[in-house]
Amino acid sequence: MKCKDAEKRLLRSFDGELEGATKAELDGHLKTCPGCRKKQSQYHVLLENLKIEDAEPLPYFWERLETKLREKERVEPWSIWAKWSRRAVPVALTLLLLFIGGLAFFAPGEEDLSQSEALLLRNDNPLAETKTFFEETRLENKNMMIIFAADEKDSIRR
Amino acid sequence: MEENELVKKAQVGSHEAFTMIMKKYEQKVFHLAYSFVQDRAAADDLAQEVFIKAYFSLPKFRFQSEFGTWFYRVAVNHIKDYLRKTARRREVSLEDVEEGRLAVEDKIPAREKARADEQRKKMVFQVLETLPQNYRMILTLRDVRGLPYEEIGQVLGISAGTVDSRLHRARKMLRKKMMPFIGQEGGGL
Repeated sequence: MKCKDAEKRLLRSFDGELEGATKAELDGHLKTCPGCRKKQSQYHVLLENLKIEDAEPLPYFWERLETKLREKERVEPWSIWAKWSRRAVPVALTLLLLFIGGLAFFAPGEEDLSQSEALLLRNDNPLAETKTFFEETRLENKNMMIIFAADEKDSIRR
Repeated sequence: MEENELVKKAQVGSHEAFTMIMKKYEQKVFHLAYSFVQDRAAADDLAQEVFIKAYFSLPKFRFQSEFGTWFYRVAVNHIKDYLRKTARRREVSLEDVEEGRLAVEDKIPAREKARADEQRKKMVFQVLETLPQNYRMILTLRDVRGLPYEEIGQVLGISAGTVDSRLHRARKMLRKKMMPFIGQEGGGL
């Protein structure tokens, strides 16, 4: 076993991650390699020194925390929005969808429009056609216009 | 009442539910903070800040992981920010170290030995502070707090394999940085 591999296994051994055969191999290497034994000893000391005794929080931890929370809530009113936004967003979206749906449902269709309304919607002058009719001097043409206007009566309500 | 039920209640504003959940994590968060700062008052402040952050972040919890893991992640991220802001790249002075080493080598009374042990620990933690944050974080979670690989992976958002390799590199770097202070025959500081 190379010393590099031995170091890897050595470090895993501190976490109890080494299986029987691998551990035996490492032990065999350590017996014959003073350099790795030295490393083992150094790592052992380092890791032991990283262990600390736990301390306790200072007294009245919760009382102090609650006071701070109240202060923060007062200072940051947006926090109330943050709390409720999770619900507010889907509710607002639902209302918006309902509104759009309602508009689509109740909006008048093209077939319900009079010719004048349709022309006005297209930004055309609804009197232009009538004007043409009155301006026509030839009786023959005028009659033809009346006939065509009567044909259109069934399709477009005047 | 189950933890998730309490979390749901706390999410819609129940102060009582929030207190019940957080009391469960008080020690864990305080000890985590203490592992990084080794100062009771600073750890207490840090733990309080973590709870405040968790309180305002609670509505963002989507139950996609264990609540404990999410909360620990909030704590670790807050501590990371704190460490970044208060980064003290302190050089370890040889005088401090010599004191620690001599104290071990000499045959000295128990009181002196306890002082020397404390000095040694202090020195190792001083060197730990000088490591890159990723290494400091993983060494603290594993070697100071003793968290299992899996939990470290969940908290830091990395795989168990990455935990293994990062921990290996971090321990090697710590040893390398401690080399000038480690006794040549191994072990003694």
